[in-house]
Amino acid sequence: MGLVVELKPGERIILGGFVVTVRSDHRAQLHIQGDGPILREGDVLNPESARTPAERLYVAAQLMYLSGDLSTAQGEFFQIARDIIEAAPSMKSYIARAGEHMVAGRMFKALRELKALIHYEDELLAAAERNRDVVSAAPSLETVGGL
Amino acid sequence: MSDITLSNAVRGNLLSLQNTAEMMSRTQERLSSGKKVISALDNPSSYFTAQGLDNRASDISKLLDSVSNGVQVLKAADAGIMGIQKLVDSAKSTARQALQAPNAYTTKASLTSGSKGLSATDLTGIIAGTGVNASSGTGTTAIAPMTNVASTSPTSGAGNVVAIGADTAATKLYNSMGSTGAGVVGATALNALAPLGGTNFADGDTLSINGQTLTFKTSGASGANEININDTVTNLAGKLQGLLRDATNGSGTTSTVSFDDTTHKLTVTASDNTKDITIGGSAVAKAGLVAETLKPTNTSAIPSSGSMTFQVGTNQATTVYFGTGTGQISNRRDLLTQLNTVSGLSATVDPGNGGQILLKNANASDYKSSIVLTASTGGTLTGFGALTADSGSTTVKTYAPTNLLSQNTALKGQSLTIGVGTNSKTFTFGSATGQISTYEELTDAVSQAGGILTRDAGNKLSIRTADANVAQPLTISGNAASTLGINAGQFAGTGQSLAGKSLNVTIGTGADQKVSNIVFGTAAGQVKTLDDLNTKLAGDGVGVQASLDNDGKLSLTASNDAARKTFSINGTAAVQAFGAASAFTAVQSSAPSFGGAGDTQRRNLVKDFNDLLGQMDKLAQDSSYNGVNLLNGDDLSLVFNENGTSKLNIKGVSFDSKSLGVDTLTADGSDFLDSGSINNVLNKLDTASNTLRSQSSKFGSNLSIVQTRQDFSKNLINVLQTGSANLTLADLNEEGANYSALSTRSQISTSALALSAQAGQQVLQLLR
Repeated sequence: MGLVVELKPGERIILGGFVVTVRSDHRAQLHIQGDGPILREGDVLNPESARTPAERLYVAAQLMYLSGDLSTAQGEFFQIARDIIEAAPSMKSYIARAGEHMVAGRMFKALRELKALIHYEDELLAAAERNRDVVSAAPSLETVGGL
Repeated sequence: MSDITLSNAVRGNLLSLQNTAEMMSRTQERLSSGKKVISALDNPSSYFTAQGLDNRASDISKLLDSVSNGVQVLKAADAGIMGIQKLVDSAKSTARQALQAPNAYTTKASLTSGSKGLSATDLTGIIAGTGVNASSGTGTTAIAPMTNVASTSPTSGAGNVVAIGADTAATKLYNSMGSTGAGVVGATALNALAPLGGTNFADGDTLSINGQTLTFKTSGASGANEININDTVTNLAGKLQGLLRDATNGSGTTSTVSFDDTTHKLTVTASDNTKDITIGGSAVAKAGLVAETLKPTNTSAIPSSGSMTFQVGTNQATTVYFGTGTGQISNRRDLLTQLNTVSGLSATVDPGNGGQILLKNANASDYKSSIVLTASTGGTLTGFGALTADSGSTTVKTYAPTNLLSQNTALKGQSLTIGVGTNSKTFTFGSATGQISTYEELTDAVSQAGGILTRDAGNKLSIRTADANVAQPLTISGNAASTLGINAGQFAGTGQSLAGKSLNVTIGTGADQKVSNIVFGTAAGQVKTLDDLNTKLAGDGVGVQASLDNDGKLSLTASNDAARKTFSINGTAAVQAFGAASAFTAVQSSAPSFGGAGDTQRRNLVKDFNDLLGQMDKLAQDSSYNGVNLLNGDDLSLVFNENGTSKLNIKGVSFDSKSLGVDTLTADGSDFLDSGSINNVLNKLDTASNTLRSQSSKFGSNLSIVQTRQDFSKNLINVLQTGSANLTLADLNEEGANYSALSTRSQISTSALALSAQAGQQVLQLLR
């Protein structure tokens, strides 16, 4: 049981209410057991740097995870989710899966899903950029990643 | 299309999310015009994805139902707890009323010691009646036997014994009737006596004999108290005799009054030597009688005149006069009576041995007082004169003191010191004033020192402490001690006390039982005074109070708070003072008794209390929803996802009154009889309140978790359902454009996320 993580020298990880930094100059392997939020530095999204809707959705979910309470930022979460789905219904499946994980208490997997959503969002926005530059209004179907 | 692409104007306008919706509906209008439609045939994967989402939404919906159910169960349990809490408060109020009700007891449990003489300031002192005096033990040298001559058995001719034979019955031959009595015979009529110079018996004359009166009548005399004046002399004698013999005046049934024809005289004789005969009446001279009292006589031993003085020790002296006059002694009977009035003297007669009179000190243990007899000239009693006299003294002593100096000449000049406790007295032996020469003086001296001098059957001496000083040690020293054969040294009494003894007091039973282990003494933790005892009992939580009565008996009584309880004691002090058979045998207190208005009131409150418990039990049983009752031991398991890997288990409890620790009160009402018991009940109710409160808090936090998930699930379903229709309608380029607009707008609009103080932010600060 539990989780095994391998950290690089200098890497940080959130374990519960603590931030743990690898001070040694070699990699550290940790076996983590028990209950509480575990978030590697690379998976943390700074709320102040969240710009896009999907990023903000991720930040809301991140807060829920770190506080251990689904009611944290719940209002904001669903407001953003609604906006996203209404603007781009193809994102709904990501949100559905993420939401399911959250109801089931699998916050870690929910964040993974929301991270994938951010990637999808990047591609969608990039495609929209490209479309704007094209003078012709002909629609084109571009597959932009897995649904 | 140009409406959908971004423009500066659009960017500038979009500050609220409502604009997004406006755009959305515009886009939809365009789409519904039929420009872009995705159907199941055109894009099957999208279609089924949409269906999948619908399915997910309905699965979560089903879960939501059971979660909602669970919420109701929790709410029912919480409402039940609140109701039970109110009933607990009512029960507390009922118990508090009992605290304020009048007392229900009429007597409380108690125990009193048999031992007396304990003192409140020192319970470890010698207990009255248990002390064994310090003693020098049996001495070694015998002293001469005591010679209180006055107390030895009488022997014939011995110096202290006076032989006085029996008295003779009173009798007298009186004078002649008539002038010379000549011619007067029994047959002579009373009115024909021809007395010389006198008159014959006439009507109204009287003669009295021992208080009975005979009256002379001219005629018609009747009964024993009347006689006709023409009756005969013989009949006169007969009547007088009849009166004399009358049982009512106690003269004796064989007393006689007889007339002799030859002497012409009446003779009066008592029936025995114990009776007097008193003669009187107006006509005594006519009958030749004399008005006088005839007494028994003892002419052989008792002189007819003179006196003797008797004195015992320093008591009042009494003089006895001999003779026949008033107050004088003429017989042994009267002599004995008068001798016994002499202060300190006892006189008895031994009818055998020739009627010997024994004189003794009335106080048989008085070995000091002599009986002194002083005879006046001419008044010696035969026999008294033979009493031993001291040389050089005119008095006759019956008592010879025990002279210690003559027994042991070495004593002269020696001394004896007697110490009792811290007091000490020294005596010197010799014949000078203030010195001791006799046993009697030594007895006095020892007594002054606080001791008692005794001699055993072999006349050996010993000294012990007097009973007033029973607890004191005794010290004997001085060179006279060994001469007298008295053991010298220091001797301790063996009075019994509670010092070092233990008393264990137990009150109550089962979980309520309290014990106080007391040791009497002066060391740390031990009990010396009555206050110490009560402090210890109170400190150990034992509801028993100690007190002493006027006799110094120790009483233990249940306190008012513990009035309904009995208690018992054991231990070596229980053996010593309370009559326990052994240190392990418990002595039980008496049982308390109850009654009166206070008793009735409290029993009614017990009934009210039990009714409330019944209501609590019912409420606990009724707090179910859909058959699940968290207050009756049912558990609740809530599943938050379809495959059951995320769930919350809520454990049920038993909240009937018994499980909350509040037992039904006994029907005899004893739980409310004293404040100690009532406070026990109140404590149990407090514990129950705490249990209820803490469980309510647990259910509350469970409910909060469940409600949060419930809300989340509802919101998620909502979001998924509103969005599902759109997936079949939009295309990705339009999505991209819409989304881009949304994204730009959301960058400008105020982010609630960054502003509100959200939980979980603290740890993020650490990463900065």
